Amino acid sequence: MTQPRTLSAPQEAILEAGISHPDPAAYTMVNAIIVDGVPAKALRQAATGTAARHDALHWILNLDDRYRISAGLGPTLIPAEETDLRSLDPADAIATVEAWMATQRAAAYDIWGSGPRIRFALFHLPETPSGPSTVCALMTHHLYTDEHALQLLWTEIVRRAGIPPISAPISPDLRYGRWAEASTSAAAATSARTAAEAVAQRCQTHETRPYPEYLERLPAPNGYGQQARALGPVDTADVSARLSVGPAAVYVAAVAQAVAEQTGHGRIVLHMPMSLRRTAAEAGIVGCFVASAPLPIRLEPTGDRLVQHCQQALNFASRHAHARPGLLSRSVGRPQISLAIEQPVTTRRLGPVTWSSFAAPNAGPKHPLSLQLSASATGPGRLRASWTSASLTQEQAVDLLERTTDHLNRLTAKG
Amino acid sequence: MDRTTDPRQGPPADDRAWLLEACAAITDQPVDADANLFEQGLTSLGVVRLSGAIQRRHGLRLGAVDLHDHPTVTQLSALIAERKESGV
Repeated sequence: MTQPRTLSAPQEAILEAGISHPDPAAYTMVNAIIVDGVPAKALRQAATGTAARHDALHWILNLDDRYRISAGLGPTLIPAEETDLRSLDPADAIATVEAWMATQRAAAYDIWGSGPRIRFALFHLPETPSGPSTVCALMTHHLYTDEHALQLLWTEIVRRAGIPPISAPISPDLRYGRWAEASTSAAAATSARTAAEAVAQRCQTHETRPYPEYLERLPAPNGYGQQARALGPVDTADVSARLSVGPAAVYVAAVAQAVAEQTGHGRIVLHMPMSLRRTAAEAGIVGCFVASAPLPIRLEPTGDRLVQHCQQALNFASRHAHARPGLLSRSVGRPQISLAIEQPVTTRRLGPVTWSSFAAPNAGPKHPLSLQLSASATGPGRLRASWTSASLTQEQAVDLLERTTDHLNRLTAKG
Repeated sequence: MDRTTDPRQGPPADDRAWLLEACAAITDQPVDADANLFEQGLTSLGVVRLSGAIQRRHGLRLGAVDLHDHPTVTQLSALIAERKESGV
């Protein structure tokens, strides 16, 4: 494929959201894993080889003579910086990596640049009983990946590095370009318009005013705050089985109850990132497939009924996640409260190789109030909030996190 | 055929004239330099295209807020000159 690539509908939406956001780093992505049992050299070769294979990681933005945006293919040679931390105490080495990740996360990404669109960094950690230990980190922009794509990349990298000969296909993967083109076809545009109308109708009776208006807050200076709290294991298996719902319905219900209590409004709209991957084949494509979907929620008289209602709302939002963002923001308004459900920190094993994810670094809010929840039935989780100063006070944000945690515990209580 | 529609002519050297031409191309219609661009067909994706065009030509990152605060070609042109001078 040598012709210009068409940006996908989610990529266009991210460009629009990025330009509307005061923080030029709002959509910068930084992600890392610690890999034990693989020499750093093999990891570096696997990382750069894997990245080179995925066409969607190399798109540079072009403007034609009418200033229409398309993408061309940028450099596929991926730089990998290396830092030796072997002389440090293990805890200090990890702290050094975390500080580096936070700095990278706060750095603006030059979306109109023509250099490599993704960069790797390797940190050599003190050796472990299972051999070399290395942090492999990557920096890119949300235009190029989403959370799921990052997991695909890490899995391919570890496979390539850990079990030679390489079992992963080495031919270039051009599938995202084909999907992107289909996502902006005339038929897709009509479907996106119809979906936006359906969502607008569903949200009609719900509260979509800016958050500070619910709370009747006085204007505050520009700035933002952030707060995180650790969660114990959150086991949704019982309630999921009893009500035939997924864990996300329980998380959404807990947040909705907390927001409704705090604001006094029983009908709210949460915005959630949702994947537009619909098929098994799409589940294997590296690229950005995420759209922000409004989720109209109304409080119900009981927790069980609320959870079931949230599952229905999630199903509806998922079916309409391709709704055209421009139409949605005109009819539903810009997102005020967003909830992202993230992967908890996990350890995986492939033969003699183990790798663990790093917790994502803190970042400023994408919306007036942004919540990120990662939970696990067996291990610790995390609930994070970031908010603009014009939306909430520190006390209100802490209160919201406490209420959400309480509701989460109540909804998942056994018996 | 005017400058806006004649691709044989290169981009104008004068920044204001270039901006006028770029806005006309993006909104697909002639643009009044002193009228609000958002009332002349500038959409949210148009803001992205215009911001990209400005970044490519001037190396300046202008966000949607800048464009909403300086919604005419005349005002935007002055903002670009000011940012270039201050190096921000």
